[in-house]
Amino acid sequence: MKYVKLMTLIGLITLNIKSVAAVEILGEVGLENRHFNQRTEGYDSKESPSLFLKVSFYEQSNNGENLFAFTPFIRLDKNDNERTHFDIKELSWLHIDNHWEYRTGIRIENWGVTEAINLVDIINQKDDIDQIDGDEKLGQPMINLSRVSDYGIFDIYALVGLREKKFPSAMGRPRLPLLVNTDNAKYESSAQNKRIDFAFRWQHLLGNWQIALSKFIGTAREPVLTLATDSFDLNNFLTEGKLRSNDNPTLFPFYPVIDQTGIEALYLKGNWGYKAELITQSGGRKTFYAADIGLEYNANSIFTTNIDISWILEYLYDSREGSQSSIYQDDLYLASRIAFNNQASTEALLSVTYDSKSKEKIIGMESSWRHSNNIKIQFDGFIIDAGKPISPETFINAGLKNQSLVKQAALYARQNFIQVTFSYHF
Amino acid sequence: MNTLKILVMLIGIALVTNLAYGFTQVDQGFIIATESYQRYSGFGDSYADMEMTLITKQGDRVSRKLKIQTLEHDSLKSDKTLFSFTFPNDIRGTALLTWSYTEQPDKQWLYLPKIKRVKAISSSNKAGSFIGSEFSYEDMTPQKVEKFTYKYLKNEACGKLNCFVLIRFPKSKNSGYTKEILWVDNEEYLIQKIHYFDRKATHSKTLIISDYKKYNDKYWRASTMTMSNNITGRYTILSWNKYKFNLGLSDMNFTTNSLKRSR
Repeated sequence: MKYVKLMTLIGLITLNIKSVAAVEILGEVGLENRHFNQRTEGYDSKESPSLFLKVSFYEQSNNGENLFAFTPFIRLDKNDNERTHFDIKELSWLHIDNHWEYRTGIRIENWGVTEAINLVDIINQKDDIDQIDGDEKLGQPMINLSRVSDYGIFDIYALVGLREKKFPSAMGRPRLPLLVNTDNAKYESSAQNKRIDFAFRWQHLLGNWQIALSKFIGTAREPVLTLATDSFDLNNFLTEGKLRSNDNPTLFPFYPVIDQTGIEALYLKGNWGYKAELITQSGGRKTFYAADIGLEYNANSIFTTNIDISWILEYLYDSREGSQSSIYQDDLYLASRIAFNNQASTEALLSVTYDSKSKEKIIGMESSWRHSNNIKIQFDGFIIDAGKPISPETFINAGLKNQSLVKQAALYARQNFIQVTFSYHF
Repeated sequence: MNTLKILVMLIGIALVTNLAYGFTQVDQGFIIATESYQRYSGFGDSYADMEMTLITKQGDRVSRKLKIQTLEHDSLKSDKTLFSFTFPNDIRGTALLTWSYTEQPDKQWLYLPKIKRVKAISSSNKAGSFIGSEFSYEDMTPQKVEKFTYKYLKNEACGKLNCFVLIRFPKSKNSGYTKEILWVDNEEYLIQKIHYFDRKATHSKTLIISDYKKYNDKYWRASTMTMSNNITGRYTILSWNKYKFNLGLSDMNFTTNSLKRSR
């Protein structure tokens, strides 16, 4: 109820400011429905509708030397009270002084060059509960100084506190076989979730190469999900090998302090693009390496139409083993992006992520077109081809033995959905 | 000795006539193009609002609006342009930064405000449609003299004006055109019309440039550009206004940092 009131309030403020002030306002209100292909335990309906509102207020002074931005976001989800959430995506003041930019407040940063995932991208918490494509993020409070020079762009960041990851409730999908109890979150830092983290990035252009080096020292954005052994009768589980009906096992998020070094490289030549992101991360449980390396081919104006097609092939590697192993341990990602260049600005992205060991496939689809000047329609899909879902028991067993699940994608099996969004832009 | 002298003289004459022949055939077109570009350029930096109307064969029309900032440099450095979209609302804040070189491929970055991401994009897509219009990316970048070779054709009347007619051949392999025929008036050296010939050497598109206005007492700029696609029957109209010059823009207004806030 409080979220409905909040949404109404933001709406009213927007309408009022829009009619009086010179503040620039840009907003989007939308209706989304996820249609799941199967009912699973606990779900009566295959439909999962939600409503969202995102408004950006912009103001500048001194001929653009100072820029102020405020972007509240709210989503109301019919089924999942965790997905119903409010976030300030941006509340920032940006000051420009020739080669320097001083950026203070809540902001979103985006690092990386590859398509499948952005390993180096670590400033913000991902808002995966909102959209699973990794593009949605929670606003991060920070101070960021940026310097443009002949030797590239240098950015330093002081990041104030951790935005904790949101996880679906029992009524939310897609989700893991066990619920994540975020009230029970644990942190390595004695400052808990209020640690001040540090980040640095240098990006430069060298001929056809675009490179970047980055460093992050602070609380990991991606928590380690650990079995809360006190959340169910462990002794009984060990002897009987199964859960009791009144057991309610949960995971808890643990946020270690990590040290991550990242490299990005992009080489563009003619119709070809070569892209790589590499990271090494220490702290947490173990040092590990991960990479996303690939290439892209752009075919323009195919068959004398206006249609542009890009083909993307990337290889994903992650050295983590045991229960912390990544879903992208040894995977191939193949995607095609199509821009129709028509009046409706129709675009589509189709992708398949294939795990060579488990033979699992994750199929993603994103498409959008403009229905009129103000209305945009999106049609997205998420399909896991992974056979049987993993039971809570199997999941718990693997966790207790610190074993990796060969079939990682199966964690989300039978939670396939297609998603339709109508949004009105004002 | 005399024979040698005569031989040298003959070779000399042959060389001179050959050069002169080449000069008349190639360089008159080049001279006209150079004069035209020189009159167009020298503004330092500029700003303009542009509305782009996309019209189908059936007459359906949609529009896109953008702000365009340009920074001029001498031929050693890149010219820089920044397109910032303001309409439709869902793409407001989307911006395209181009560093355009004469001797090497252009560099381009696209900023997507929805996901707050700067993406380096391949500039080989010269021939591709610019946001669904009949204009291609290469039509939207500065048409520097060095990017083409020229050939003068003839003089002929073009509307009320008299025009030089010349052919220019793009040097870039990625160009979508094999040749372009230009009509340039002989008073102000303004391009009035261009016939574009695609890779199959078909006259695929026609650009009519009209409603020229003089700004700051020296810079002539067109208010209307109409590109018709002779194959599909579609056409695109660009309407330009609010031209401003010498705003004091610098390289700092054309970085990937400024791209993110070029709303």
